[in-house]
Amino acid sequence: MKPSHSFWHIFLVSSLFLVAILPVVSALELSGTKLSPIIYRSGATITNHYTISGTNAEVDVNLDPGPFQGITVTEVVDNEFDLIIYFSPEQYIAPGSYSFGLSVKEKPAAGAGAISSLVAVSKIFTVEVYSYDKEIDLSLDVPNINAGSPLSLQLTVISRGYPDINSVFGEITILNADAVPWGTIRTEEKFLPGLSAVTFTEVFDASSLVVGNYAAAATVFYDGQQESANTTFLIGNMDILVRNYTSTLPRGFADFNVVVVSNWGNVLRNVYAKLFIAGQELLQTPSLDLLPWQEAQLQGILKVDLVPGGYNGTLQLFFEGEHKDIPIIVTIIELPAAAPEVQQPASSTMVISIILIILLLAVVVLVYFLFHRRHEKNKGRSRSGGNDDF
Amino acid sequence: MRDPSNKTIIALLLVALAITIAGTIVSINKVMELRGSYGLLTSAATSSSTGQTNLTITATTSITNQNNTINFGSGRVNASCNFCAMDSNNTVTNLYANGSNITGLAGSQCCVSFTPVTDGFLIENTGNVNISVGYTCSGNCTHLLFIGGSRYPGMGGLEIRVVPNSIGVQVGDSLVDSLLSCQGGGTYYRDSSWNVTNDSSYSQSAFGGVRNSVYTSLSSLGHWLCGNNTHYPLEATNTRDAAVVDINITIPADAIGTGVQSSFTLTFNGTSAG
Repeated sequence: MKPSHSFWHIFLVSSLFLVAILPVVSALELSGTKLSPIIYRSGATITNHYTISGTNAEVDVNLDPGPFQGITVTEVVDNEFDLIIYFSPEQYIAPGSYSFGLSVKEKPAAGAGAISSLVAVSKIFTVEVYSYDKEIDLSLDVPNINAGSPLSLQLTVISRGYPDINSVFGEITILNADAVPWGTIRTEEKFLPGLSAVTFTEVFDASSLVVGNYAAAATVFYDGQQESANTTFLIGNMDILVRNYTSTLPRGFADFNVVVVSNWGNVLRNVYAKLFIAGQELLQTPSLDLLPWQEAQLQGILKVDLVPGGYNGTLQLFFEGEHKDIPIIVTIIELPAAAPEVQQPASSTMVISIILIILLLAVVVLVYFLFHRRHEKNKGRSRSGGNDDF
Repeated sequence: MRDPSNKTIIALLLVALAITIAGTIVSINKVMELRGSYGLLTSAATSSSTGQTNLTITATTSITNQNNTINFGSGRVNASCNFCAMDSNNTVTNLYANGSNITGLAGSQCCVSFTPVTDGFLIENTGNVNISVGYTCSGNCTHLLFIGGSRYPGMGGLEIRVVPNSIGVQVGDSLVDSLLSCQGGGTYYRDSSWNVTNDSSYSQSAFGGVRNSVYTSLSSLGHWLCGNNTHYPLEATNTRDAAVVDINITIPADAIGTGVQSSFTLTFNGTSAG
């Protein structure tokens, strides 16, 4: 065997190891000038160029034209194509906000096994179609708040028509979970130029509202016409709720998990739990911070020496220097001795790995002997004055 | 042929040295030209004129999956167990026949011969615009088709979760995130976190969905994971642009082995404003 063959084998074997170890990356890019929001003009044509990159896989380009009949894409050539937007005058589009989509997706490779994945990218285009009449869109934003905080209401009125609106104002009503009104706020009256927007910001005194779910309903009046919008929101308190916990524990070492959710609109720091069973403290979990309204899992490992059976316990939750006790019931069980495991033949991955390691070692030994032999041969040549043909 | 003499070698060396020095001088002059100076030149003709430069920065919508396959290999459930569960974060849960449930510490007593998986799908926004992320599924996307066997009511079977990579810290992110990702959507909470949901309505500030790091059933129809088709909260900033999508599977003891590898394919879609 020549040395070059040995190196080739080392390379091959190493490559096989690399293929086995390195994760495979997939990526997809779609580049083009941003168009949104597109203002609809009947009869207009817009052409935009796009480039696909980042992938070696075959891709499909898909177009969802939405309500527009005149939108097409050209054939993909060298990973490039054009999007052609033609607003046909023969098609009536009612005033409003519309969208259409363009997406590029990797085609699945043959023989992809296990849990495989592909990537796709999409662009969503918005088209604004304005009216020659007075028309509006509404947006009502009410955030979740902590109990006792003022409630900030934002009502945005967007004119979708070319004519000016001489008078626009709104009324916002707060309702509880049973749809019973708690109060109404009336905004000031404003002039709204065509195709522009106005935002009314009002503060509602929510100090008397108890913790719970609420709704807000807005009606906007504009030059003799009206539109409505509504939304829901939550009034929370500095509290942590328990969603779930490990209710069965084996004797000996075991994991204990408790799923908690924050009912507070600010970050809750230093959140942890202590578990007491039969008066004994068995566990204190590591602490974490909870984002507003976030759900998370507290977990830890404990050792249980109690006799099997049902026990009343207490879960003590700590947060921001406060704590609360939650009564729980935990069942302690005795685990049966694990069934003796039948010796299984080594998995195919392990067998392949061992074969590759043996092959690699064999190649290294071969290379060593080859070089050693050549070295000895050269020494022999130099001893015999270089005339040895052997 | 005679060996070259020492003189010849020295001459060749001198020629090589001369070429090296000349090349260095030319290179330095070129560099100086680039900096607007003419260095060693004693004179040079210059001219100037005005021009117009057009620059268009394209919006690149890009998504990268740094690990595109999860393979638990093949194996079986130990005879003393009813179920075994494992996820792509190398967490194993042993569900014994006596009803006890031990996660992690006991190791893989119930899952026999399967391949431990330590990496989930690592999804990163590698473009220059904010995106939303969702997935669709094709193939054996349900527990019944992918694994089979019977489960207890309410028991997870084939599940998915999303962990921001500032928490998951999976290797492969172009710059491992130091901040929570999927935070760029505004005041609604659903825009401020990874949230597995099919709820497309943004009219409600109190919303459904399963948030960071919590498993929920995989949907054959797919889910939004961050934002939706109108809100794009996953920023392109390298310090907060990635998350790990983990898969959790529960294998009942009565699942029937077919000898054929079961599979499904998730397509992760990055969506931006066009």
